[in-house]
Amino acid sequence: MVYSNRISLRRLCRLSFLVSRHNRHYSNLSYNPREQEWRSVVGLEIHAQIQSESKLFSGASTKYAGSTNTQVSIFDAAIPGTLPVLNRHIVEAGIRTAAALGCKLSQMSKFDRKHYFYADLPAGYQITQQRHPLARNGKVKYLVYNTDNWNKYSWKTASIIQLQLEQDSGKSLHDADQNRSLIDLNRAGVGLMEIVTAPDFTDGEEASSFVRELVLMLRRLETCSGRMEEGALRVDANISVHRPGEPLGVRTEVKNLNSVKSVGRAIDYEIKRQIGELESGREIVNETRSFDAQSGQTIAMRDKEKLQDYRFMPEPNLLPVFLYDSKSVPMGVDPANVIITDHLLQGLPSSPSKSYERIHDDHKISIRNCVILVNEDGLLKIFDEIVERRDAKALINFLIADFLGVAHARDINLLQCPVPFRHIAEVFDMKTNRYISNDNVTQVLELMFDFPNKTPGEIVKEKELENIQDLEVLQAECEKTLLKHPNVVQRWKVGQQKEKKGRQDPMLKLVNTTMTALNNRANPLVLISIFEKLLSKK
Amino acid sequence: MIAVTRITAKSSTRNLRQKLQLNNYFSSKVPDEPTWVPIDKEKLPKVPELDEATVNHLERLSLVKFNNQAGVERLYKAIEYANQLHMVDTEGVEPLDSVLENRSVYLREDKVTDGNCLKDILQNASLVVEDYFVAPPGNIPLKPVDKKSSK
Amino acid sequence: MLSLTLKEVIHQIQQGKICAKELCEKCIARAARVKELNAFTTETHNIAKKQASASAERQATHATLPLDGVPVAVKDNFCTKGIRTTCASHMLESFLPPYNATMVEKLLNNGACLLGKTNLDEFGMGCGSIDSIYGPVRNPWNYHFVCQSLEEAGLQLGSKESHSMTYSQLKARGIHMSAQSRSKVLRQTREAEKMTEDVHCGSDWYIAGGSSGGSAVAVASGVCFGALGSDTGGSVRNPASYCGVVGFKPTYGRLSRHGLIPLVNSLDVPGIFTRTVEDAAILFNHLGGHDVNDSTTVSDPFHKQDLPDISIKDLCIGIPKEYHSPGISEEILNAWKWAADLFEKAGAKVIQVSLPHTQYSIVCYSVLCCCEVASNMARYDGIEFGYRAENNESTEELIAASRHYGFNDVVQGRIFAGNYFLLRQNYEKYFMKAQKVRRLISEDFQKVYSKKVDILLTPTTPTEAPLYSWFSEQDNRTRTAEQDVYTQPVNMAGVPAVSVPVRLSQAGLPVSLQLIGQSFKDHDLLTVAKWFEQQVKFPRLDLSYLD
Repeated sequence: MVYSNRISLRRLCRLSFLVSRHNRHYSNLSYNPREQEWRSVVGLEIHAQIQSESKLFSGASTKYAGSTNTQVSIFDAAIPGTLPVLNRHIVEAGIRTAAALGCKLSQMSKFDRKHYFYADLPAGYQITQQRHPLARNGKVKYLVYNTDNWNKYSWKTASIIQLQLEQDSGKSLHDADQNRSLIDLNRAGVGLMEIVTAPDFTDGEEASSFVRELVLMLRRLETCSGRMEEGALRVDANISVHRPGEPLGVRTEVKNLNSVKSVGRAIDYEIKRQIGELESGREIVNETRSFDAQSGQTIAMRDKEKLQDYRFMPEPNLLPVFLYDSKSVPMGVDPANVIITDHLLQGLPSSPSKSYERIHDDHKISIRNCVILVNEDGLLKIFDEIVERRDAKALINFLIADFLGVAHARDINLLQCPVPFRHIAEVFDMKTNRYISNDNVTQVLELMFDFPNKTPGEIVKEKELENIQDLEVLQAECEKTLLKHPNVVQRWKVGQQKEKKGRQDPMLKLVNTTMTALNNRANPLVLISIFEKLLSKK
Repeated sequence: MIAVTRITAKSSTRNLRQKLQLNNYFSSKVPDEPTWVPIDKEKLPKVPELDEATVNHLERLSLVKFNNQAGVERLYKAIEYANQLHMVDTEGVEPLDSVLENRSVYLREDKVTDGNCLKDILQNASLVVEDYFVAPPGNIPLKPVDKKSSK
Repeated sequence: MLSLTLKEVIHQIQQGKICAKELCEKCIARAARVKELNAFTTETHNIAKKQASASAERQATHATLPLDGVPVAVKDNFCTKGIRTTCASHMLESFLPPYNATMVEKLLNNGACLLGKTNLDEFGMGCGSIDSIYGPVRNPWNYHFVCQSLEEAGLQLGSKESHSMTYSQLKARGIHMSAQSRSKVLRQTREAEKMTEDVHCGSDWYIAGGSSGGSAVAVASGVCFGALGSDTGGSVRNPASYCGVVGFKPTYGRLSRHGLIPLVNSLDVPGIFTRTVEDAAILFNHLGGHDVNDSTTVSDPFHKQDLPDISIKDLCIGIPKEYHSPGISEEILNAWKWAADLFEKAGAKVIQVSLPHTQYSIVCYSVLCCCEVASNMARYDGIEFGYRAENNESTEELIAASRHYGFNDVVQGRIFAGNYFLLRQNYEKYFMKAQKVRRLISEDFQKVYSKKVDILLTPTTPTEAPLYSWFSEQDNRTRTAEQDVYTQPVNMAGVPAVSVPVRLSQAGLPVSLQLIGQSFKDHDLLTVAKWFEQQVKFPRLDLSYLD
């Protein structure tokens, strides 16, 4: 269908606004031929805060941005004599996440202590699961795409080595004036999932695409908010380079990447830096680096220690976690001490990549639209529910171009959509059937949200927004317009003779003027045909 | 090594034997002689050299000021003593983390039951600033590269 | 009144025959008389008096709690809310816990009166209770009390004369006496056979054992009727043996460790000191059970049980031959033999058994202990609590300086060694090896018990209480290796054990023996121990002449 230019311009603005919103992952580095000499190897360690009321080993609250040190129990502050008590909900969240990432659950998992001194780690050790993690050996398929070139997309698979539960540390704020650190332990002890990938990535684009997929998955599972800006998900990257055929190079670790974009930028910078160092004859030091988002560079952390030894030791105050299904659970065991996994493994949401595949294959939707659809919370569900017997492509365009704009402007959370989906479908139908004009769609949508208890059909009738079908009325209006704008008519005549192809410009003007006069209650194509008829007579 | 208190009476052993004879002594199930296997020190692994690098490394990990002659000697003795473990054949034996290893851990319900005790948390801290704990600066990055040369 | 047992005291309080307040006052007075034994780090007499008053009120309305009015003491590594809990260390010298340990909470909720926190080896590391910032604990047996000397010299404790001039030999006890009084004391009270001059004058004395020496002494000297200690390698049974009281270590997982500042988490168990086995059972009944704050307590139901009288004929007693170690003294060996025969004469089946890995237990302990210590002590950085040095250059400098002052050499040495054993390159060789040996030790016990043996009979310590001068000739680690040989393997296996005083040695010091039971059959163990105690009729220490 051809839309008039004015309208399509508006569409384009909205689309690019939406696309830029989803553009967080993109890393746009030009391809350097010298880099063909090198292979880069990247592995990720992702720390995701598990959504729960209370912490992993204590009953203190996990709410974000609480008042300093008010969400700290005596255990979190490592007061002597206190002991950890494991939170069932957090273990269950870990189980569901591990299953969704294709991991094999460990029938028995244990906790360990990882020792290092740091002011925000009050006990001098972190309780984690090094030796016997909750789950191992998963696989995640993910989509790598390029928003500059939507045709350049590919499917990749990353292996998950293990998923383990562990404690988050507190926060230290550096007070530069007084040369000290201020420690807030609210975050200390919050439950984390550490997801360790195999070194399966080659650059920032792949790594950041994976992180995006993971964030979406976690949000679907509701086990992590994925809000990297709040620190709910942090990424550490292990990066090394080597020449083809040679063994893996020395790796560095870039820590605490807190946005999808940073993941991409930091990794690409570090790869370049390492290549540069090696080509200059220098060596790569096995060290920890941080990423400075402003300069786009990774910076070495001050660490005199050549090699940190965490001296892992079993956590003696926690017994093993045993997982059973309803068939294998032993008799007489205290239900407070066991986790039966049956109900946890049922009804797991499908992965984002499966959603991309499904929509792409079933409905032949472009990758770009798939990405937008899936990445927008709640939108896919709406699409799935109302797509039946409707034109999928047209529906997606409608949802992305028309519907989303209105929803965003009103800050609506589509996961808790205030209007029934059938209303949205109805508006789409009205548009498709030309019951209302494209120009009025936005208005109708706004009114739909304003009056959730009325059907859009009722609203349109009430507000008199439906297209005028009566040709005589339309013709009359068109004639009025022609009379008002003789110069436009003249231009049209000139245009007609000069170029057969004809710029629609004067026609655009005529149509738009008439539409305005009719309160957009007409199909522009019909108007065009009326004008053509009228003008041909002149 | 026999530990003897300084005040053992001289005739105690003789008296005891007499008493026992009077009481119609059972053949006791308690062995008469020590039963421990003497450990041949030659068979034990040698204590590796505790060079300065190792000691410094340990000090860094322990954060106790033990990098002195007495400290190193103490460590040496402790390792030497621990080496006796190698006399025990542990082939095929699994390490024991806890005597309750076959029991499953207790799981708590996800409710907020702790926290909100700022006073309790801070009361034993020597230095507190506006409800924060205070520490000297920790592991911070080195000064960033000059921004003009950055991308 | 103070020589009654806990059971008798409870009964008399319930009956109204003893007033809780009066009992408390008497205990406080006794505590003053025996203060030089240095059993307490913190005395909480005012708190005890308040608690006794409350008990008295309940007495009046016949609404008494099970332990109402009973004075108790608690080792100073159990957290007590608002009461200084130091672990005898500079690191926690001013530490005020914001909560009560579960064991303490249970005692208090049952009406007991807390007389004070008892002295110990710093952080529980040691078997003598001599490594404390408050000074060593002294064994009341064969101890010549200064107040006794003063009285004999016609002086009053705390009087002006007793503080008039310094006198070198008594200076160590903080008491000053004139030269005249001293010779008078020597002439009047010396008993050449029983005491050396050093002991008599107070410059030498017998150690109380450790690390819960203070609690053992508190019970032995009549200051309280029950005390809490902690037992990691014998820290309850060892001082119980030297001080001639009952020291009971329940099965690992029966009593909550919430609030017990840990030494080795996988070995620690709160322990009970009392005068009789039945007393220990009473306290155990009120302390046992699952605690949601401690994930290593079992959620098996815990039932309070009285100790019945039993027929010994149905029992099989095991004598593990490896407990005749090279260091055992003649006295202990003979007592052990005598007890084995006692059981056999009474009709029990007594057999020799083998726990082949016994002699490696103490080595295994030394590794596991150092490693856990290195880990458990990592929290002492001076930032959230504990001693904080004046150092702001870097976090590491601050932490190192705080720990260097806060910890004594024993603690620092164990941290250092522990970190060595936990290094990546050493982990398998030492820590994992020790864990494997631990499994073998534990299996030794299981195998023996699976062969129909009910209880094991062994010595508690290789000797009776040593002199301080002898004991302090060697370092902490060496002494622990010697003295904890018989108690330590029990912790490895997590099984319950109780030390019962049997008789006095030639030197007049207590000789005790240990009974070891099966996991979670604590009451069965105590039942046998009670029978045994009734046979041996140990003469308990009576210090009422001091009052």
